[in-house]
Amino acid sequence: MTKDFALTTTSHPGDVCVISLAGYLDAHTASRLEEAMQTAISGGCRKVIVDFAELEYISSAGLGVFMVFIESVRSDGGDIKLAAMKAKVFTVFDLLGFPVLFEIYPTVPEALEAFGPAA
Amino acid sequence: MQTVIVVAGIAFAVIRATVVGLWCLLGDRAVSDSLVMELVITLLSDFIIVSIIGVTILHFAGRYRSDLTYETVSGSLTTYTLASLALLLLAAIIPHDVNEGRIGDFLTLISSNVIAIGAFAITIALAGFLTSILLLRRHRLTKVYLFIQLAIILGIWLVSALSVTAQWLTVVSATLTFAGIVIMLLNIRRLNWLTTITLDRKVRLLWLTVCGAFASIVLSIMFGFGDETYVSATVNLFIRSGSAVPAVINLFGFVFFIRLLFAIIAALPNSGIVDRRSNEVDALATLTRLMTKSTDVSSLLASVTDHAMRVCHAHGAWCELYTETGVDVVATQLVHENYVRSLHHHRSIHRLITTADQPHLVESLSDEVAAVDPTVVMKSMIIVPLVNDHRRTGTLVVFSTVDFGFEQDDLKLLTAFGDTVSVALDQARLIEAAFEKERMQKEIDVARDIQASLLPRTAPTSTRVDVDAVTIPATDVGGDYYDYIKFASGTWGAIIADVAGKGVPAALYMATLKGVVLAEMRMATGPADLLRRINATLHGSMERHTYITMMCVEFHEDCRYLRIARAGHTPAVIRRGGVTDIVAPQGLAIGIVGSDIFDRTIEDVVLAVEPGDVCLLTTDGVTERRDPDLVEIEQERILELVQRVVSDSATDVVRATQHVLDDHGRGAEPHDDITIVAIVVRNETATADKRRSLTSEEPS
Repeated sequence: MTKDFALTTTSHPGDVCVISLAGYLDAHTASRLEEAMQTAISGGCRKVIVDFAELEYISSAGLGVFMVFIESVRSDGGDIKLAAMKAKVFTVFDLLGFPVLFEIYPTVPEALEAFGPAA
Repeated sequence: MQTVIVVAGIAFAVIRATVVGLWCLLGDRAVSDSLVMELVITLLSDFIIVSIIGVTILHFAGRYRSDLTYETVSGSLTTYTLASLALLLLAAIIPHDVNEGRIGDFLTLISSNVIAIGAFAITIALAGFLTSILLLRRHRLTKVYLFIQLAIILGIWLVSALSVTAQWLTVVSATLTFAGIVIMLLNIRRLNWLTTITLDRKVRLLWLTVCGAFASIVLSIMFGFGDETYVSATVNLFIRSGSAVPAVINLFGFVFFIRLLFAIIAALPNSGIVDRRSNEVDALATLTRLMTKSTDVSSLLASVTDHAMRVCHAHGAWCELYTETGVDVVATQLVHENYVRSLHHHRSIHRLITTADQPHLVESLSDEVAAVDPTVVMKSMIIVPLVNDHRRTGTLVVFSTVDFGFEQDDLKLLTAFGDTVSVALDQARLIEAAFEKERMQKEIDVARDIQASLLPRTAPTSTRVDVDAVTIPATDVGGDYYDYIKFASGTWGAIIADVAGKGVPAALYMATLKGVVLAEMRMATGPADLLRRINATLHGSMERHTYITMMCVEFHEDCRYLRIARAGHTPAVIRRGGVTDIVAPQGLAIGIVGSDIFDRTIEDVVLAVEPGDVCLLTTDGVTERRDPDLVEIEQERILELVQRVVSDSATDVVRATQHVLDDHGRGAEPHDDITIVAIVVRNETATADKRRSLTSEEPS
């Protein structure tokens, strides 16, 4: 397990952004995710996919970030979809009841597909 | 004591003057006409002189212990000179009529007494002063020499009294005088104290000494001429051959003053260096004192710049600190900070001040800075960079309004200054930071105490059920919370909650939650209903990225069943009938969604329990407890613990859980708050002896 946190944002056609997370998302690193989301959304991106494939750990502060943006993104007709979670990370989401709020996909392509033909 | 002697002396003088007045003025006779009269008058004169000696001894003995300073020496010298001048003026101005030892009129009677007593007073005081100076800087033989001098004075007096009968005794008198001068010179050896006096004071002392020497030689000569001068004739009238005493003592004084004069003149050339050195020592000593006293950076810098300006005899000084936002002019002396700021608009001056990496003497600004603005009043300056931890933090600048206003010595002194100030600044900042931290810590301590007071003190306990809990915040104040409640139906409930995040914000939410729980519990019909009510109240009023996970377990005092609802919280671990399970009823964390979704998803789960069953509620600080390698505790260990724990005391279960966590943590700091709530269903018969009334255990 590593305490490092890495984040990359890639743009896809049709206003879709994929934010890939790696490492350890906690109170110290959550602000970086928040910045990245803010940048993506204010850059005109309404459809956000968060790729959890490389994320090892998520804390409550990390979870809070998604809640900050979900309402505004949805009211603009977009969405935040979560994809490729490791079992442990999914458990955390699941315990909080996040699956009720967010669409969670096994892979990023599936999430992209879910955004529909525009993507 | 002194007053008594003075009064006695005055009384003797009055008596003496009255007797002499009656005898001479009314009887028109000389005192020497009658032996009895002469003896009486002499005796009275002796008393007066003894009084003067007594007062003098008392006066100088009081100052004997104090140190020799410029103030004491110059004060005494001034008094002596002025008194001598007054005496001589009095003798010169007042007409006198003394013939053959007869006093002609009343005025002469008064003036002769004043002059005689004055002469003795001045002389004896001078002797006292000289003695005290010699004793303050004494060497091995000082006292011996002083006794010899005293003997010589008395000897000369005796000899001059007898010389009326034998002329050759004058030679003895002269020899004794010469011996006295030699002894006096031998006795004055230590005049080192002069070197520590500043130059201007030395010059002043020089003039005073010249005056003193002049006064003493004039007095000595006046009294040395037998009856040829009025003053000595008067004194001789006062007491036979009395003028010998002022003559000799003033001569000794003259010798002392001349010796002092030479010493001062000798000490003058190196005065500049001495002054500077003593200034430097003073400056650095004062600086050190300031450092130890002031903890506040700005007052420290204000005193330092003021000080720097004084020691360099500069026309002004300031101190500037460099912050991220720019130049911060913090202390200015005799220059306005706006002026200093405007100086920085001159690019070349700004560069000169801010880039100096060594203390730098700018002898003439126009030489160093091309095309300097004529409005700039600083013509020469010393620039001392303040460095802290290899980082340039500021500059101390002293300036003069004339070219070549400073010397290399000033630069050296200010260099020492700069180093000290850098250290002092560093120290003051640390202290300030420490104070700030202490203040914060105090506030946090208060917050922690308040938070601790929000937790319940007594657990609901019956013969059938035992409950206990513990919470250990990771930081000073935590976001975890547990409480015991009473539902509308009268059943008991235990709740555990975790506010997302840590520290003060989480603690504030926790306090809010406590209030909401207290308000809603009496209306709630069960755990899920309570959580619904809490979510309805808190949703919308919480910050968007924050949420609270919560779990609530309802149980009756009989504890036949547990009713559990979960709002996104870490699942409960429950052992029923020897089988341990994870129980996670559906439900979203509080504060995420509105009632429409929340109320739909949350559910109550009812579990029948029997004696020996255990329910363990934890926060994620427990399930995510890490060892020093950051490896989280395995869920199996918690399950295993619940599986094997054998006790009907909830406290034991809590302790056992803590033990397992500590075991895994191996001393690593917990990264999150840890809260444990244990509910144990008791075997009624086994705990009958511990029966406690449930009704007396009102939960908070």
